[in-house]
Amino acid sequence: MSIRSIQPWWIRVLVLALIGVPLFYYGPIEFIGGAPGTFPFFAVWILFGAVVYFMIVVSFGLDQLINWVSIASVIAVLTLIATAVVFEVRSGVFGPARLPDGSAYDRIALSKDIVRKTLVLLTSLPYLLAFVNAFSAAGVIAWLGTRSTRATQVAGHIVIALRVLQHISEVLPELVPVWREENPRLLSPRHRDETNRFVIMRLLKLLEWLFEGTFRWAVALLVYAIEPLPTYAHMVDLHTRTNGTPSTGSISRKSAN
Amino acid sequence: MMNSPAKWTPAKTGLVTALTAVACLGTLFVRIPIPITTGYFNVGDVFVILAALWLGPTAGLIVGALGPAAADAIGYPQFILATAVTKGCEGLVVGLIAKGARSNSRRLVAATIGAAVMVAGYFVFEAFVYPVLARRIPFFDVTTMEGAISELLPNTIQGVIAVVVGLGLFRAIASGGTGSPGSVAPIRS
Repeated sequence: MSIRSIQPWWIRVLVLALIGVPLFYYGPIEFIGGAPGTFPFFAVWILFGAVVYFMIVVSFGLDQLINWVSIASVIAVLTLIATAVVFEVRSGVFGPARLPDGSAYDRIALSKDIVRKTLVLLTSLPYLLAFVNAFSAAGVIAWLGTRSTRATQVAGHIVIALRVLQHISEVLPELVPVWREENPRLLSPRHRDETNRFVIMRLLKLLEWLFEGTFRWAVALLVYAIEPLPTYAHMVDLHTRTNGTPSTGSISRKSAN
Repeated sequence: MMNSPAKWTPAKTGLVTALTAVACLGTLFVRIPIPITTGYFNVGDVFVILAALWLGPTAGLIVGALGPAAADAIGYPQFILATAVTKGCEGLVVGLIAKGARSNSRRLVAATIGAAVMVAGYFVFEAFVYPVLARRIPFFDVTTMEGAISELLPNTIQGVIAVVVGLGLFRAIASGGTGSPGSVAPIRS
């Protein structure tokens, strides 16, 4: 049974919130009673991941699961690489790192840390994207629009916020190909100034490329994010002017894209 | 420019939502950990500064308080409080100073002061607020005065990157606008 077919909408919210209970395991449980042990932590998060992945396959299809997990994987891999590089550089320059409680942040602590964070990323990000996409923008405007003029105006804001979030979740998987098109050979030596005899200058060239690449990526992210906004705004304007008699197709997923 | 719109339209809500999501993603994608505070270096501030310069103080406050804090919720929940307050203030301050600005120098001053607010805010939370909270709630036992001092440098670098890239993005995307949030500015570069 698809999560999107659960009616009314507030039961859908309730079901999604119940599935997402483990999200509160990493933070608030610690908040109340200290850090959870290693085994309960992994057991809870692996089970949570299995439930979330199953829900996404049933409700959105396997392709969507792969799209969302790929985004979470890219973020996780970037975090892992950055964490490992910082750990090695820091250890080499300043000696072993220490945690706030004074204990050593050695390779075992580092490994535990990054495995935990990877697991959290690979499960919670697809869950949040599924949550956002479990609701229909056209449905929200239809529900609120039938109430009052004020509700119609509020609906306009809610609908556009929801639709923009859904749109970003749709274009997110495109961001990796965007990066690959701009930088087909990733971190290859062509981004280093091999002719310079000073190692530091070669590395500076790499940093220059990284800075420029990040800037271009940020621009692409923004362009993708705000691209359909004029269309959405126009549609919401039309709905508001006609006092909440939406033609449900106009801001729906298919026509908006 | 859209620094002082008369009315908060659905289009502006859409733009603020987009920038909030982008600030969250910017924070998620580049995470460089700082072991002594268990925190991390990121580029989410870029979009907070962009939002404040482009859409004004209220938008800066919303984007700053919600976007990066949402990213903290995934993996670093201890920092949600510090991030929401500090980056919310950062966006608000940048927006207030840059409101109605016609010159880039004023925007530069606004962004620089905003970055300074971010560095100072994290220092205050890590050196004073969290240790006090940690006496009652162990969850906040993640920082010390030593950790807060050692995080000043990475936070300053983060602030400098945010100012430079934020202003660059503002020039690239927002400066060709016609004044209405509904009409998204053309891309000039």
